[in-house]
Amino acid sequence: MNNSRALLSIFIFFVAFIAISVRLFNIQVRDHDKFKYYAERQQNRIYPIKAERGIIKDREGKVLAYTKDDISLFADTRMLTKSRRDTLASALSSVFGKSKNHYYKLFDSKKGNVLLEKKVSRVESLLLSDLVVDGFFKTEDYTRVYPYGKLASHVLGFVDQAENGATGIEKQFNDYLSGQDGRLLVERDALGRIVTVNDALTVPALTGAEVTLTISQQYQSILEEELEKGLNEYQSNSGVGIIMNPQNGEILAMASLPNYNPSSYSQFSNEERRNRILTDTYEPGSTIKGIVMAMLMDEGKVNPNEVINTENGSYKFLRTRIKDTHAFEKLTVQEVLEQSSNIGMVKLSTRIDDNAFYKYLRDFGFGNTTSIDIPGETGGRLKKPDEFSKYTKAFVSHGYEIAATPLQVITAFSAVINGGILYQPHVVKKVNSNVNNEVVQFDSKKIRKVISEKTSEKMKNLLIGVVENGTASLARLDDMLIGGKTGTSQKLVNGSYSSSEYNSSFIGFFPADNPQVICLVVIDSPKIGRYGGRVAAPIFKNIAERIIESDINFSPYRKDIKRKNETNKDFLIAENLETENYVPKNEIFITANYSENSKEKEVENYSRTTMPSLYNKSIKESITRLTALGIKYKIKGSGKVIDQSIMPGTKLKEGMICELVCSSEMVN
Amino acid sequence: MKVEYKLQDKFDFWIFGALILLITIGLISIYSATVNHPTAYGNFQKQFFWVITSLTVFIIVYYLPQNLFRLIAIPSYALSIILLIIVLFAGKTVYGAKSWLDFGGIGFQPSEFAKIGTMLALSYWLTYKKRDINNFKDILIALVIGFVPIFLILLEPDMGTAIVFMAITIVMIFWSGISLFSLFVVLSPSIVIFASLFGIAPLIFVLIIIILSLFYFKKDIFTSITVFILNLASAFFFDFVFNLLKPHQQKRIESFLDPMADPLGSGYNALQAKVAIGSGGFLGKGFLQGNQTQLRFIPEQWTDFIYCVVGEEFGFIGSILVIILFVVIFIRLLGLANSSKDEFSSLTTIGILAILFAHFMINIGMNVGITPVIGLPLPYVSYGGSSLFVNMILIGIAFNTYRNRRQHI
Repeated sequence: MNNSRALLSIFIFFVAFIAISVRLFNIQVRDHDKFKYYAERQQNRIYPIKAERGIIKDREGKVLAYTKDDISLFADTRMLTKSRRDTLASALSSVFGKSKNHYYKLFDSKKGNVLLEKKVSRVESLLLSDLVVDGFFKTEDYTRVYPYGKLASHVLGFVDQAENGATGIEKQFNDYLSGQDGRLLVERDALGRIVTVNDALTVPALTGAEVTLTISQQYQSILEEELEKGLNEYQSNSGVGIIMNPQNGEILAMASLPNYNPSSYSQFSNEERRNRILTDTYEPGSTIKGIVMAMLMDEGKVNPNEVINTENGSYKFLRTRIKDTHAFEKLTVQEVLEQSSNIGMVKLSTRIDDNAFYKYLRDFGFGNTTSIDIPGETGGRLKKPDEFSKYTKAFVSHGYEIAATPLQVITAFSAVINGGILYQPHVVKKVNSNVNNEVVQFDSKKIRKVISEKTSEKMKNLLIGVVENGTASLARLDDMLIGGKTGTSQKLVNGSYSSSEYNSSFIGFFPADNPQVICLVVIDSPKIGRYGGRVAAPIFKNIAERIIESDINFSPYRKDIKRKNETNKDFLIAENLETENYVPKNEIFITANYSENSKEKEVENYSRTTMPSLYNKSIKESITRLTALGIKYKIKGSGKVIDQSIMPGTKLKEGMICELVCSSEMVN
Repeated sequence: MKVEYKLQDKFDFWIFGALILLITIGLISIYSATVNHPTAYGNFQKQFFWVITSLTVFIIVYYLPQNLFRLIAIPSYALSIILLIIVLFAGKTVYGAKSWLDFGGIGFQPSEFAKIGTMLALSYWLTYKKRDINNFKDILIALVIGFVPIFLILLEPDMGTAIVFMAITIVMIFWSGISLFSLFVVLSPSIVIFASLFGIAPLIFVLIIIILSLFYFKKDIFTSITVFILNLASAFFFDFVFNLLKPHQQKRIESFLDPMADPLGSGYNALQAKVAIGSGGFLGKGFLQGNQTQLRFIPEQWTDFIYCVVGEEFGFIGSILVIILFVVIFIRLLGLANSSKDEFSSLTTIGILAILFAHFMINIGMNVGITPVIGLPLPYVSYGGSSLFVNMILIGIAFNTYRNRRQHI
């Protein structure tokens, strides 16, 4: 009945069918990839898994820094309904013991995300695992922990909020320590809830590498404690100390006071966070005399026994006046070093030409960074030969017109006593990486040969003399022979040398005949004392004694050293040694008593192989001496020695017997 | 005259086969969309129960005497209107529309029942004593029969169902032999309304076309002006209706025009449906493998958005199959309406076709993004007892006509 309208209807069906089919084809076949991408993008989420930061250990494996996987709790207050707030507040207050009102106040404090609890431990957060409230969420909030607090803070450095190393080893080895972040691929439903985890596309995080330092926690704490004590005793605000193995450049301890706690770094000032050892240069003062002496000797320009006119303590050099603290008329080269005579050094420095002088200092590492594996190092200042004035060598030779970091000084000094090799100082021994299971070893790195072994050997003995006979007597140890050099330099304050502020330093090494440890102590502007020998040397002594006591490796080197009673005002001046056997292997220099104020030089030169003079000594002291030498004795009379059967200077042989004649009457 | 007929002469196996397939696809899709759902996991069983119930009712309707439908046309229409008024006062609000009546735990939508009543009443009026369909008064009465329920449903407000009623009214008037001019008079307002959706410029453009068409029909000046004013009025009427709509419905219409403007808001469903269907690809992701469905990106997917479960899990092949099954049903119904010698039966069949086709076009259209998201279920496939129940009664009426068609030769 309605054919035309039926046909129209069929036409409409046809159009509808075609329209829908075309549409379906477009969506499902032509644009399939696009919609598939949309679907996956909204269904799948990639969550980064933060890799745990690697640990830092000391050389014995003690953990100096690790990461704790804490969790922080947040709430989006916009999503919190009345009932959710109640649930949340009561759950949190039962776990953390705070009042519910505390949390209500937090909820009201602002719109949006509110921090409820910061850095809650994993265990505590497990108590909340059943607490599922919309608008309440947890985020991993790692904490870097430094179990020893401030210990070695300047070596370790600290990490910023984002767990990236900001200074120190944390920064230098950040790539190793931070590991490799993983990712978790999850499917989420329309409400964002995680439904499934796609294992095939999930990559676990790899914990960061384990970094082992050359630092010894034991040495480090000794160094820090003694340095701290020293700062209190001599009333100084800051000081640094470095302990290093001179034979390979491994830093065993490195302390810069004041220091800071890396886990709460933001509460400390830049002053406290600065690693002065690397960043602060100073004019090394007399400690550099050991280095200048080494170059002069290496060049063959000096003879240790040569006598230098030290001008009674005041010498006009060109148009300036050089002064010695203790005036001497004449000193041997050896004594110039022992007494730290500026005049002697100024005179000697003229013997070497500018270029050689510069080259040696350059070779010792001055004017250049040491390339230690801690960031932020400065290179100091060393004048080039064309910048030299007529005074430069003279001033550099007693420690001015040159600026160096404490690290440069100890590195250079190591080369003086270790056979002449300059090593690159380093604090990282090895890195065990989890990422590709590789172990990176950081071996000691020789940079160059600076002086000959022979020179080094001579210098070692000269420096032993400094401690035994010279300015560093307060550093002497009872049971081990050490060498070293004091240094006292006026500080540059506002462009001119201050007469009240000094850098007091001492650098020493032990055991003297096979140096295993070299240690530099620099105290900035002590109010009590002034000279390196008075301030830094005793601190060094305390450090050295405790290290030797605590480290079993030193026990073979420990022996009883018999010295003349230090309180004894009596003295003998020993004969000068022959030039040829200037430094016999087993020679010991003993100072009777050295006082900085005394104008007299009290030196006794005592050899194991020759008979000492016991004239005017007490019986007790004489017996001690002879026992040490292995000489049997007979004593006649009492009082002080007036005669001896073996004449002083006689070569000693085994089995000799010495007869001492004593008298209570003073013989003068 | 008594003739022995074979079963296939009394029972349309094409439609029935397509119907059973659609119901099966619907059950599978409902299962997939709800099996992992925390609150809707029982919907498959409920729907299965409704399938059995509806099929029983279908058989009953199939065997009812044919005259019955003409007899109950006016009473059922009256009952429909009464229920539609009651629901405005006593109804339960579901998805922003006051459309549900509760009878002791069993809920049902009067607007669903009113489809049957209105369809029968229109058939009755349009075939009553050989009406002159081009008589203005008769058309107006037919329009009133259609528009009273439309107006009541718009008050709920339920835009989608109202559109279905418009389709019923217009298609049945069209089928009853209206002249081209009269059809123009009836249809042009809806074109004006549609154009007004897109703004002032398209509206003026359509109005100019209408003026040109009026010149073409060469009617007297009075008629032409009346028709034009009717069109203008319908544009304003629509504006009035648009303002009656709930904000979420207004947003839906707006978001249809630009779904990407608010991808997380009202355009969300349209976009997610498209993403689901599109990501299904040619062969689909497989049963229970549709991530969009299983991860519940589309809320209440088992009702109005059931088609995107099919699209995602069974791909282009499955989607086209559903379309073909519907087209089979439509063409068979059209053939039945066309071949039926009884005008009342022919009109009821065409009314049923109009109801199903309107649902089909709007539902599939909103799933694939060619019509706005106005909540209408996909017949036989979507979850929903009262919808399935009514649709089975409708197809039962059509089968009843099929069973009896030879008696009018």
